[in-house]
Amino acid sequence: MATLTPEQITAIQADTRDGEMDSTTRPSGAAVAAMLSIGIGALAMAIVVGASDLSTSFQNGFVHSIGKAWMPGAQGIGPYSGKLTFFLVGWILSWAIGHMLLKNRDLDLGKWAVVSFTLISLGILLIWPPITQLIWVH
Amino acid sequence: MQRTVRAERLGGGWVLAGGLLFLMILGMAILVSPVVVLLGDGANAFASAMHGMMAFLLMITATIGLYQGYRLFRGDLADLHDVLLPSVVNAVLALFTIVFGNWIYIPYRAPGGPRELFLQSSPMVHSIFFEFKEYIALFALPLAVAAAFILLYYKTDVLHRPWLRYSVAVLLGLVFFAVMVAFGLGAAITKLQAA
Repeated sequence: MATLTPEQITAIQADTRDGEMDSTTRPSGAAVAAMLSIGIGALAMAIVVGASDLSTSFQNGFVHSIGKAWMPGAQGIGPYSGKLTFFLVGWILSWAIGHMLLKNRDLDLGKWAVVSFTLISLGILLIWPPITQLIWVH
Repeated sequence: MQRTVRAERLGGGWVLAGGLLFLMILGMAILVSPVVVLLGDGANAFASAMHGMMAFLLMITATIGLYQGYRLFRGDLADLHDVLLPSVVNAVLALFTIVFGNWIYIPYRAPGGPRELFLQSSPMVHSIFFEFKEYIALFALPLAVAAAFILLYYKTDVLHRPWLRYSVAVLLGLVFFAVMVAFGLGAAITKLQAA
């Protein structure tokens, strides 16, 4: 498959889409906030998951109470409802704040994308049970 | 040119009408068929079926998203809608899969449920298969939402700015990874013990 040049792409879109999705030339800050917030949410959950492995009372008390505060059926779902809440709140809150702060700033997207994907990968790594056990319990 | 556009719109109208007719027939077929036989008659049959169906559909759309993300990464994509649609559908399906997954988690944890069996027989099945599955599955939602957001926010800029292209492509790749791991582990668990 041949790689299209930006000019060719623009020409094809003008032909087929009646300009439905115009170019915006917006600063890259909003994209950075959207990606970085996932890593922040993931790390928030990873810390809570690790601390829960370390302390059953923390898991069954505080973490579960956070889930029970808003989630329907959280009593049956258990502490997982609280861990999920930390992920969602960490993600949405940091995204909202990041979007407000960064939306008008043009950042080095390449650098920040690498930082974001590193944080996300770290979040995934830290919730892998053998690693969680290794770090928090042993 | 204008005639071609009009002909395409007319063709699109017929496809839409055909699709609606198909959905009506499908709806009638479901109403008159023995759905209970398909779903099972357990108390959690509906939630289980919906969770499985949403996850299965998500697996399909995540795969489409992965391919379109790859085309976007390479710069082969000419029409942004090709990647926008699977990204938005991914996000919606991920949300529904998680909601139904939480619902079915209640009977999983209930006394006498599969969790109790796993904890007694092989605790690692619970901690690795299930706990990791439920965490990794959550990643699909923010990743898919972020991909859809970037596409909707920057529109065709995504096609012209390399790092926007790469970012969306990697996000869609990670959605596929999260869904594939969660789907595979979920399927393995249902093989071991049904809820």
